[in-house]
Amino acid sequence: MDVPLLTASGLTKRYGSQTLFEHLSLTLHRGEMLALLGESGSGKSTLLNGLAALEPLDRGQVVLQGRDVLALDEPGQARLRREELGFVFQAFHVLPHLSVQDNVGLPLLLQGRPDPARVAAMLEAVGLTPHARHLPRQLSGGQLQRVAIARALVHRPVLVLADEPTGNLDPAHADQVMRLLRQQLREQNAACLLVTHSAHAAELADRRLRLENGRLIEA
Amino acid sequence: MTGAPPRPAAPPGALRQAWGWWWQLSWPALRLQWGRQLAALLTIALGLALAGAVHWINASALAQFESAARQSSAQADTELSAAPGAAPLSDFFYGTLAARDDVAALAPRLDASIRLQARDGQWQRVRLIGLDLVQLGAFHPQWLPRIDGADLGRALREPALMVSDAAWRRLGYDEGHSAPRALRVDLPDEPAPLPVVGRVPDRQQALVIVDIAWAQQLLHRPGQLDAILLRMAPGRAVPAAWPPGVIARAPQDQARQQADEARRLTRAYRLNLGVLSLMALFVGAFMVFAVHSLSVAQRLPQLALLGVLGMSARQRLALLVSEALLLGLAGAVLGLALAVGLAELGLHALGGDLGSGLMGLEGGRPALRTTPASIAGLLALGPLVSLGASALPLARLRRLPAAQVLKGLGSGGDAGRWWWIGPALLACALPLTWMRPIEGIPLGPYAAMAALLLGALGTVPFALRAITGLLRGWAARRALPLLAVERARDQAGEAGRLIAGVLVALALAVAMLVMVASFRASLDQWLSDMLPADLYARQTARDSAQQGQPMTPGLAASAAALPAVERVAAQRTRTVGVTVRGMSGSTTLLARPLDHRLPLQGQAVALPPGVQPVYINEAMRDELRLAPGDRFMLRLEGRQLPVAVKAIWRDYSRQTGAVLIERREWERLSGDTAITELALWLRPGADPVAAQQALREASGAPESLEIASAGELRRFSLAIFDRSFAITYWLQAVGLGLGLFGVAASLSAQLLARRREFGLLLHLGLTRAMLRRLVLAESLLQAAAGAAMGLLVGLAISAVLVFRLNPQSFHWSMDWSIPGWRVAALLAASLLATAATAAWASARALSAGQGEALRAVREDW
Repeated sequence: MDVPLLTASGLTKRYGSQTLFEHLSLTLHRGEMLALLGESGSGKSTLLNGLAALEPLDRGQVVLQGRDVLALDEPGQARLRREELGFVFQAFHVLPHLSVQDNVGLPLLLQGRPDPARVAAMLEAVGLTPHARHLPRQLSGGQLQRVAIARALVHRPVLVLADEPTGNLDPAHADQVMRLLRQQLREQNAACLLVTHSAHAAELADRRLRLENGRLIEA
Repeated sequence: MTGAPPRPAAPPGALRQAWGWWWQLSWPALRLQWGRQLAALLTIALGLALAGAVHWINASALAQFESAARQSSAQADTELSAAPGAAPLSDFFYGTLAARDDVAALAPRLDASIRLQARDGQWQRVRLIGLDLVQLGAFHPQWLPRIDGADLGRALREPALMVSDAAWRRLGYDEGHSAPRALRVDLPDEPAPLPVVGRVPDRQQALVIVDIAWAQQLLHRPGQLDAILLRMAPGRAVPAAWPPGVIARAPQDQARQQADEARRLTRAYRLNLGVLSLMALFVGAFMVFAVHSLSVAQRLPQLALLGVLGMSARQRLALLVSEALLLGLAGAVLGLALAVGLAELGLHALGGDLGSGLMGLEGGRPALRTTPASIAGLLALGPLVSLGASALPLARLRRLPAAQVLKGLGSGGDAGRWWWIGPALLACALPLTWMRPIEGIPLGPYAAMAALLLGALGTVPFALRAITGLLRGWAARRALPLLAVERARDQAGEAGRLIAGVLVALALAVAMLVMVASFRASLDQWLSDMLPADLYARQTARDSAQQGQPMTPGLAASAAALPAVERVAAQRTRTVGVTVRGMSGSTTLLARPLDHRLPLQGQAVALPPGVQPVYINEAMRDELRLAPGDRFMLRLEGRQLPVAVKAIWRDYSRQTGAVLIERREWERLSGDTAITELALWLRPGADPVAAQQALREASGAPESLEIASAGELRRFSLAIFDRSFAITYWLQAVGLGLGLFGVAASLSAQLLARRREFGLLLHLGLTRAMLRRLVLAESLLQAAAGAAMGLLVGLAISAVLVFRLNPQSFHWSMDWSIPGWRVAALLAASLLATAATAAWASARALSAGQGEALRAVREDW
């Protein structure tokens, strides 16, 4: 295989005397979807945030496209998140005061390159064109998650970090959202680290790892 | 049923459940926001303390005034005095009364105000009462001197003083200072020492008592009396009719009338002071409103969850109402304690009239008098303010969309239904300003001001939407501006809460600034108009009742003959009777040459030939409902002098009625050629100080003449004005400080409530600095809307003050003038302070809350 997009090694996180995980390592290649499974409280989301430099880790190194993420200063890390990462959350997290199209276009605006055509294309891709001017409170849960997926991919990130993206959805909508995410990732050749409890969602991934007792094992 | 029997001490079930809920649900929330809750509590306490203290100081002073008035004629059946405009009572009239069978006893009285030299060499003014010392025990036992050292015989043999305790204190001879045996008195001829022959045990009034015969001689009022007290023979009633020019009043009526007069004279001052003191409470109420609003906003998810778990809206409402009541009650209790302390301090430091001199209170400070009703009122006001301020936030609970709140999608546009309230209140303000005063109190303008403030708050969302509407196109292609503008637009209803305190404080500050500037500019212009000469002279005022003692005949001619003097104009000030539409009263008459510009209010009317024109001041216009062209009568010593109103003249020197007439016309009409003041124009290059000295020497009694230059009078008047309004600047600063505290408190709570949003933005690549800039931009947008509304409403309130409230309160109109630079500086300072407060609050909240913000986004770890 080619050079990994992401290489994480020796990642350790402790809360006081409790060790959440220790000496974790993982790699992720461009276009690959890796599912991360594990029980609640096992540290999956902390690992995800650690990789995005949103959670300070006690030890370890994260290299994304040859850059040591944890060695960057705060503005550098923020810039990396703006340009190269996309996030999808279980609770959707859309900004309630922005319209659907403004929510989707926000990452592009944050990079200083507004692109209404790209926003329209993403809305078309996730089937929300009729709702472009609606406010989030006017949408259903499944629609909100589609807004989140469009927002995560609109700026063509190399890596999407998805934290339980189907946790708040019924099976039918969960399947729909996962297929949409998978399709968009393929189209953009973006990698994805998917934290999930759902076996069905995990099945759509290329690889599956389980975080158990602070160690990563093949699932 | 197998349950154990209830414990005897346990409260009833419902109460126990309520207490349990309060303890488990309210107390932790209050403890979490203890800083904001404490600030709201202190705000209520401060407002109530100021209001309570001012009320009690005024009430105590009025009570003292009434008590003093009652003492002057305590032991009589009736008191006779001269009618306004009539000649004073005389010894001859006293003799005729003494000869009547139905009079058992009578006592004469002469009232004056004199100056005594104090311990530090300064002259201090005290009341002089001339009494028949032989009758002192019968009519005024309270003024019998203390036995030790008193020598009534000497007081009958020679001019001598009996000095009250309060007068000694005013002269600087407190306990511990041995009082001198003689005091230097500023007499009409020249200052002279008079022996002290007794100490009067009166700690309230600064007065000296002199035998009436000596008093008449000392004051150059031979044979004159100000009052005669009568005690009727047993079984004989007080006659109903008395000779013309003599009026009789029962002592109780007299005291009550004097107290009523003091109340009337000071009502506007007291009312305005009261309203100023309520300003803090008013701003405080918005602070409480902000705290309650944010408390509810912050706890919406918890309240929604409680609703889902089965707690009814009524029960949740009761929980929050109890919190509001508790806060108000605690504030009221603290405010009550502070009010008592402040009132004691105010009475001690400033006296009963708070230094205004309006009540003419002499001597010792009044004792603080509180009533159960006023205490109960103050205690009730705290919970009422707190409950009133929390009414709107609590109303949100009734329409709380629980599911939407729990999904983190906000509580919806709850303001939509009530959008019309703000504009409606603004529209109500105009008709309210045109209401006539009720019992002399300008309730309409006050209500209009409240409607303007509340209406402005209700209209903030419109202003914010208008401002953000202008920025929307520009912001659409920039991330931070887009976030700031769209959030400000979406949450426009919240803006009213955030900036409520600042808006109210700024509006009141702008209003006071414009009103004070307008008043000062008008006063300045008035002084220029009314003081056209270089120097002004009058007899030193020794007699407060007849302040315009005629000057020595020939002084005007002597003054005109001085080399430095180019021209002299004589003036006459006196009291005359007045009859309007059959109603009689009295007024001040000013007869002076009217060869200079008069500060007229409105236009002068042309009167038919043969009609004597006079100018009346605004107080007389309002009190007697007179207008230009109206005719009425002046009464002088039994004669009726017909006159007509030519124009209304602005008179900032008094709040009571006055008539202005050309002096030559007055002399022709009345035959009264006496003069009381001189206006002197100096030759170019003449030395004003030397001219003053020359005039004093020409008068023959240098100490008896008060001379001031127009410049001095102007500086003195403006200095008094500035001192009187200095307190308003402090109150403005306090108001703005409270408003800013409200911004900080509200913003901190909003930021807490938005931590998930900030967490998301951090995920999307914003730095903390960008988040701070975002919050700052949002706050500035809201502050700009608040400042715009505050400015507009402040100007509107200043117009109410200038055109309606002041004319109704003091009978003083003024021109509206806006000090542009100072208003702009105030506006800029307010915006800067709000921005700085927002920057500080956001930096504090965001630096402390980043981890929390990130965790709020995650679902587990």
